Amino acid sequence: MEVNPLSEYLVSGVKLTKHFESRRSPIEFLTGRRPPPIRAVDGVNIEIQRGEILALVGESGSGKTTLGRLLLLLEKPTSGEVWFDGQRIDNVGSRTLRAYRRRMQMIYQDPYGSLNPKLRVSEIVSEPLRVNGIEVKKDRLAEYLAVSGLRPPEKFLDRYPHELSGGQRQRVAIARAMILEPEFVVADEPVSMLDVSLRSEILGVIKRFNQMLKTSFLLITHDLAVAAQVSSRIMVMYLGRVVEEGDTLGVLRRPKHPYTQTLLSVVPRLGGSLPKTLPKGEIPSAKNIPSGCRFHTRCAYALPVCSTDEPELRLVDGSHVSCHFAEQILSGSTKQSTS
Amino acid sequence: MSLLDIENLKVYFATRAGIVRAVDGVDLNVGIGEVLGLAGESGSGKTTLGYALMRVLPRNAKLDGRIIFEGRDLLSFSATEFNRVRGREIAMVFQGSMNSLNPVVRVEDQVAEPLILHGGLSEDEAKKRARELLAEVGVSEDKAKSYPHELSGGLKQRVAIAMAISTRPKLLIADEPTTALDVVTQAQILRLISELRDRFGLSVIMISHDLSLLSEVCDRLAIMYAGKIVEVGSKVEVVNTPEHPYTQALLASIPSVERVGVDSPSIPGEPPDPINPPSGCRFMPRCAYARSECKEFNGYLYELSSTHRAACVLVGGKPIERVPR
Repeated sequence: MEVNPLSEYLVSGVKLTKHFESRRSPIEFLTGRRPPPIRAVDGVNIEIQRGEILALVGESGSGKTTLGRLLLLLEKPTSGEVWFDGQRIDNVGSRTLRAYRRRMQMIYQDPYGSLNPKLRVSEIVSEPLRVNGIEVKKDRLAEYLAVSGLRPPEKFLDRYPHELSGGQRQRVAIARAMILEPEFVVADEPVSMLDVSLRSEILGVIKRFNQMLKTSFLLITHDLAVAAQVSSRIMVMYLGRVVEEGDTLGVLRRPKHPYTQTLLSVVPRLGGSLPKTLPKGEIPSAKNIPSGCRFHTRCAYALPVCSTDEPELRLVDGSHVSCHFAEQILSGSTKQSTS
Repeated sequence: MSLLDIENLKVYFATRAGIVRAVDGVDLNVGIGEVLGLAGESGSGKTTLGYALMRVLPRNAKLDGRIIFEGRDLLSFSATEFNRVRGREIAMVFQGSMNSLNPVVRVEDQVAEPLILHGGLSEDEAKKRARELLAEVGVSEDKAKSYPHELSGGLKQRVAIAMAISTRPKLLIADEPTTALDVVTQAQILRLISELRDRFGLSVIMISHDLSLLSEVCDRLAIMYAGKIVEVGSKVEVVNTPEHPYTQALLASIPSVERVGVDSPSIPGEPPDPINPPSGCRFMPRCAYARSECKEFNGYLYELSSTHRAACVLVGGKPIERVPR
C-alpha cells in the first residue's frame, strides 16, 4: 500500500477520471463501432481537509455525484488515485478496503427511499453498529437522535419510517450515517427534497455533527444558498471538470467563472426578479463534450479561443478558476454578448 | 378584474381516523392575467386547493363553498357540465406531470392526441398544431419527434406545459412546476410561464413551498397554513412587510446566498394534525407571539391595505365581513 504520512488532507482524489461505457445504438451495433464513453468525471483533483465542509456544486450531469462516489470507492475510477488518511486506497483489495468503509459514510437525497420501511427507527440507526459487531447501547441511539433534532428521542425509537415526515426521516438517515463516528461523509443533495423552510434546520444538524465529531463532509448540492450556509469552501463542477474552487465567501461574493456567475444569478432571491440573461439551452451530454472550454457553448463571454483551447485551473484573486478571461470578466473589461 | 373568486371553500376528506380538513374556509381571488403564488409547507392544503379547482378529488372528498369563475359558480355544475371547463378553461400542470408522459409515444403525438379527441381536429391538423404549441414552449422540431426518455427534465416539463395550454385555458394551475429541476432549468421554466402570461393574458396560480421562487415571478402571494389562508397581499407587501407571524417565520427560515455561514431560524414544532386542528388560531402552538385571545380567534383576514390581508389578532386592521349568502 502506498503511504504518504505527510498528507494534511483526510481525503484526496488525484486526476480522478470515470468514464462509463454507453450502450450501443442499433447502427453502432451493426457497424461494430464503439459508442463514445460517457465522461462523467474527467481528471479532477480534489482535497478535503480534516473537519471541513466542502460544497460540490453544479447542475445534474456535471459529474458531482459520480465524484462523491469515486471518493468513497463505491465506483472504481477509470484512472487516477484516491487517498484516505495518508494511504492510497483505490488499488487495495476488498478486505483492506472494508476497514476503511466504516470510516466513511453517505447520506442520500431521498429520505423516502433510503430507509427500510419494515424497520423501526431504533433498528435503522443501530444497524451499522450491529453489522460492525459493536454493542448497541440505547443511550447512544438516543443521543444521536437528539443531536439530529428528534426530541425527545424516546418518542421516535419505536416508530416506523411511514410515521415520520420527510424532515424527520432525513434526520434518522443522518443519525444512522453518523453513529459509527465516520471521519468522512458524502452528503448527496441532503435537503433538496425537503421544504425550503426545513432546509436550514437539517443543514444545522450536519454542521452540529461536523463540530461534534470533527467529521469532514463533501456536501453535494445544486443550490448555492445551501452551500452558503454550511460550507467553508466551494468547488464548482461543469461537465466532469472543476471550473472554480475557493473559499465560500470569495466564490459567492466575487464569482470569477461565467458558469459560477450563472449559477449564482439563477438562485431565487426573496422579492427579486428572474435574471435578464439565462444561459442558452441545457448542459451538453457527457458523451459529446464541447471542444476547448466545455462551457463555451453556453457562455455569454465566449470568444474564438474558447472553442479551441481548454483553460487550465489557475489562481485568480484567491480562487482557482479555469477561464481564459477570468481577470477581464472580474474587472468588467469584457462585454457580455446578448443572447 | 377577477377571473376567479373562491369563497369559503372547504375540502374535507372522510377517513377511518376522522375528518381531514385539508382546505378549511379559503377566500381567494385571481385577476385576469395575474400570477398568484400559493405558498405553504407540505400538508398545508395547497395542492388540494388546486385539485378542488380542477375537481379531481377522490370519492371521499366533500366540497363546500363557492368557486366563481367568470361569474359562474363552478360548484353548482354537474360532472358533465364541468367536463367542458376542466382542461379547457382551467388547466393544471400537476406535480410530476413530466414523469407521466407516455414512454412509447413521440411527444408531438402526445400533444396532438387531445386535440384530435377533444378539439375535433384531423390528424394532420392536430400534428401541425402540436408542433406550433411545442415551438411556443421552446421545444424544437427535432426534439418534438423524440420519445420522453430522450428528453431532459426541463424539456419534458415544457411538453407537459404545452399539453396544458393546448386548449388556450384562461387559468393555469402549476403545482410545483420546477421541483426536481436544476436551478438553471428552473429559471428557464419560470421565465416560460411568465412569457405565456404576457403573450396570452393567461392567469396563473403557482403552487410551491419555495417563497423566494414565487416572489420572483408572482404579482401577489397567498400564504397557506393548515388549510387556511393566513396572509395575502402583493409580492412587495408580503415579502417586505409580512404581518402574520407564520409568514414572518417562513420568510426567515429560507436559506439565502446573502447569509454566508449563518443558520436561518427554523419554525419550531410541527404543523398541526389536520383531523384535530387546535381551536382558534392554528398557528398558535408554534407562534412566538401567542396570547390568550388567540384561542378564540376565528380566522378573519384583517384588512391592512386594499390588497393586503392577514389573519392574526395582533394585526391592527379591522375585520373583513364575509359576504352574506
